[in-house]
Amino acid sequence: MGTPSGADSEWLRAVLEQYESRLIRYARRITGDLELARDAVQDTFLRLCAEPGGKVDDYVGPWLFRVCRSRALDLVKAKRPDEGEDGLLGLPSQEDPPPAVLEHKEQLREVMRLVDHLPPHQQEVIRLKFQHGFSYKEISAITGLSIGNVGFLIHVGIKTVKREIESIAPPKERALRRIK
Amino acid sequence: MSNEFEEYKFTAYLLGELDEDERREVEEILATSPSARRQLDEIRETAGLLQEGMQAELLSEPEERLDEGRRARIDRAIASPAAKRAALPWSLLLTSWRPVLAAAASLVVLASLSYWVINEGIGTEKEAVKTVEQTASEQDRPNVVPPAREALDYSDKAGASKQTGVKRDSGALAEVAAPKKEKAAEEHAKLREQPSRPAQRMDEAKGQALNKTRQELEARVPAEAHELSAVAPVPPGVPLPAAAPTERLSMSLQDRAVTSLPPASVTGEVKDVTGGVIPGAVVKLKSPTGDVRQQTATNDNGAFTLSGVPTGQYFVQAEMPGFKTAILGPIQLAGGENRRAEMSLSVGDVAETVTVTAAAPTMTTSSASVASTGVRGRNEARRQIAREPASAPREQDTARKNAAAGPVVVGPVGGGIVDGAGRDQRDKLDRSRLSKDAEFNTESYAQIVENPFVAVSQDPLSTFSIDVDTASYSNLRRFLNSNLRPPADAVRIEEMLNYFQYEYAPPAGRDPIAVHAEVAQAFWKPEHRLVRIGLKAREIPAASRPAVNLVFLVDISGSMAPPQKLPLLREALRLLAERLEEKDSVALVTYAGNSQLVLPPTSGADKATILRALDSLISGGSTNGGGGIKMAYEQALHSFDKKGINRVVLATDGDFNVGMTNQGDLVRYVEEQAKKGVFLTVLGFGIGNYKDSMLETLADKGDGNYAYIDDLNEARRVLVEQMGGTLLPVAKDVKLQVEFNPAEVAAYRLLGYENRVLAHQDFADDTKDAGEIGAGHAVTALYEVVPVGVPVSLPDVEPLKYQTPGRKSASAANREMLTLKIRYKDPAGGASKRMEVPVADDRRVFDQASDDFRFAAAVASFGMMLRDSRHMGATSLEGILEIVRGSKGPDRNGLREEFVRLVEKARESGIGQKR
Repeated sequence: MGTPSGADSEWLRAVLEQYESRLIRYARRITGDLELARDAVQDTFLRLCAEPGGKVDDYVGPWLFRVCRSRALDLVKAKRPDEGEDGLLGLPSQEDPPPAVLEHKEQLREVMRLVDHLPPHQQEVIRLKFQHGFSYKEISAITGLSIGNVGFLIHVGIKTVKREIESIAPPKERALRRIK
Repeated sequence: MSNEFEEYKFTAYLLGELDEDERREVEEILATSPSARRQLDEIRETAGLLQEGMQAELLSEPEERLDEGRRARIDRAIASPAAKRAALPWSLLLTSWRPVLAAAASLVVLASLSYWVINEGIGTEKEAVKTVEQTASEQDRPNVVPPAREALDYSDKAGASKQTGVKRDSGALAEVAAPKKEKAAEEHAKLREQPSRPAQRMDEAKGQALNKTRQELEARVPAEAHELSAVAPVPPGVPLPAAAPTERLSMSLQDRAVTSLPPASVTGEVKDVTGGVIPGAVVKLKSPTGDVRQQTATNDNGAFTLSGVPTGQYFVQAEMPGFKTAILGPIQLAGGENRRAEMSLSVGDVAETVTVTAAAPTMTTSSASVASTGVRGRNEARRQIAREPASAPREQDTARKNAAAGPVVVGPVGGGIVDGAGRDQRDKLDRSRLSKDAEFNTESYAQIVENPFVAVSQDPLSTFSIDVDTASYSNLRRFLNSNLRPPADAVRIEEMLNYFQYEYAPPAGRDPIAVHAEVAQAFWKPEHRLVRIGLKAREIPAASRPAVNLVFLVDISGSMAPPQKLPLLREALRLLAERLEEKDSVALVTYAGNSQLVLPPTSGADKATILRALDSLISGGSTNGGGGIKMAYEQALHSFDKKGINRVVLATDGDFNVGMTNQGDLVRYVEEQAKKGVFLTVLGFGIGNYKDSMLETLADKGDGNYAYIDDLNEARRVLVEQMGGTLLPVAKDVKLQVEFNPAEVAAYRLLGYENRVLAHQDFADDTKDAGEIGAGHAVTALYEVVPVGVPVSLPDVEPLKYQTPGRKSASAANREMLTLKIRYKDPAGGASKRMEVPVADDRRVFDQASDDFRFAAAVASFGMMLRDSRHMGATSLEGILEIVRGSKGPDRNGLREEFVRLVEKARESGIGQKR
């Protein structure tokens, strides 16, 4: 049949299985639109299929995210040319007022809400780190930011969240709930 | 006491992102400052919350998947990327030139960027980071190479502007276009000559019918026409850029698909792997672009019929919840044909598809029909399926012969393959090696049934051929590096073991092979013993072998894709690379559309780099080179060795153009270089008996030689001769037979080599081929042994009526555990010679074993884990890591270290938890 390595197909399918929903989730944050996100992810995989074998294999995760990001941004730009360089959108966040006292579950919800309010680059980097599990270096490769930048953004994000949480529930109470 | 800078470092420290020096710095601060520690705690707490919150967000959001249409497009790209790159006549007829060329050019550009990766070594993350940016950012640069498929894909969104982008590109590539068009015109002409029923009928119904159908089909052709090489098909409705050649060519396609022919039909059944029928399965008839032309469902007997099908090419898809979707095809339906299609579904996720290529009209997809011939039959049947597409006539004859063989008989215990007469199904080992590549060409791996424990009382002999190849290790590596678990059947323990080098003393006596054995505990089951057998071939003294300086000039165009071409060459080069030494130099230049220096002159000691470069050889693109031969010679001169053998080795399937349009110029150039001491060797792959006078002239003028290579044996022999003729194999048809002593051993198990098991009588049968062993080469095998007295659960065999087994001879009392017998022939041939080596167990515990032993045991254990073997015992990735870290030894070629990293990767990816 001519496929130099049927192993390619097996591997490609496994990669698709593994990364499909993660990439859609990531792309959706950028495009704000599910169908555009799916387009971006489809194109990303098609590019992977077209890549000469053996080269991308060792770092396929960051590669996929990087390509997906570019594609998603392109698609957004095509749709909304006036968006400017930074096409990063967030999903619209709920506007609930913060509750007075925080249970752990509510704390988590608050964290999610806070992250949604962070500037787009911080959000993206934090999600790449804490949801997708990439290292600083990999995030740098995906986003094009320098490693130092990445570290700084994560740090600032953490500090912001910390500050907001503290303003809601004073440290004394939090200390009571500390588990680790 | 904090400042912003240190705080930022705390976060990085917490997340494990600091390097050693910075980490120590932070730890010092933490040790001395309680306020710093408090800060870190707070950061840790928030980070913990953040992580938890982000994960909760993940869970609260619905998991989105791709829809069917997009999924289908990707599946198609996965299923036959290289077939499209090979630019078969069908697709040539259907496509327009410019997108194809632009796509080819984009592949090449990506390839050249990726060369960068290989050169720098993917090892460090830093480089990987840079490369991700480079390869990925190719897409961002607007004018350089917008892959035409992009232009066409999104032209409905972005409009005309992108179309002009395509045209602009094609202008730049116009000079490349001409030879390709000629080639396609040639193939087009060939096609017209091919007799086929539709065409003949066409002769009768020409004229009016043609016009009518052309109009009808014009609507359909654009939809089907966008099977662009190597990349995504385009959504229907996008018009082809008008071009006279396209029209002319696509007309001949229309000639064939005539609606005045009687319709065809497809009938069949859908069953599961045990043969049970599946009613209510949805059966779809799909066009090559994935459009569903017809749909039906199976009745209570699992049967279906699709009728009224116009002539053409289709795929048949069967789906049922709870099963993997099966796709059969492509099948070509002729007018009035009634095609049988039996489809077998295996349990799994409907979103997964299993594609089987129909090689002949009555081919069944089934593993169901194979199941009835038993497990061993299944191995062989899969080989047959694999062999058919290889299209070498020899292969097909063998396959058909094997298919006619009788019921499978249980021969030697073990996962071997035997037919009714007890003969091994593999005629020549090498052919099975070739079909191994063919195996990788199918969608699934040939199933390996692990060797089970064998009771010595039932069968005290274990016989196998020592032939090993290491292709599957790179495959394994690729899966693991992508954080994916490799499929069990891709894991071959003997290949993993033999990927590494071990310190065996070479033979001292007249035998060309030294036999080594070491016995110690099996760490995954301490009551069991593990026997490591090593065969080491005699070395040729370094002084008497001249250094070689080779530059391979490899044609990697699409036509080199079939298994007897590029994959064969790759395999042969791998073998060659293993024999190289530090004084040797090898470089690799590829050409297809452009020339690339894939591997600069590299010392033979740097095996990891060379093997990586070889792994990256993949075909694709057109056969037009620019300066390929010049680049190759330049590299050869650059690393010229005055006392050595300097050669440019051109590997092609005959249709080559290495950058000098004038034949006379090429010959003159080669002659000149020969005077400087760089000779040319030409290797023709898959040419068969067709003698190419051009190739022979070149080789002649280049003071070199030429060879036509059809199988691995030849490839190996020829390439080894390139090394000056002194690194010949030192022994061939090497077979191993182990006899276990029932007084010491209750049961044994051979780890790996399932496909190399021989019938016991084949050991002494000189007409039965086996593997060969080259100078300095070594082969390692492991047996897991259950000593007498240790309980082992084996299936009960009914006692014999006419014999009383278990009568031991006097030798059984001599405390030997086993005797190794080896048979080999001299490379020149002749009768086989025999060696016999008894082995006793000195009762060592695992930690007393050598580094090599412990490393090999750990590798085998890792393999067993990946296969989820029931024999894997008490093992864990942690345990394996500890062992390999402590047994790396000198590791001159860095391969053991790479293995350590692979195991670490596996652990990070969560492999090692029960599937």
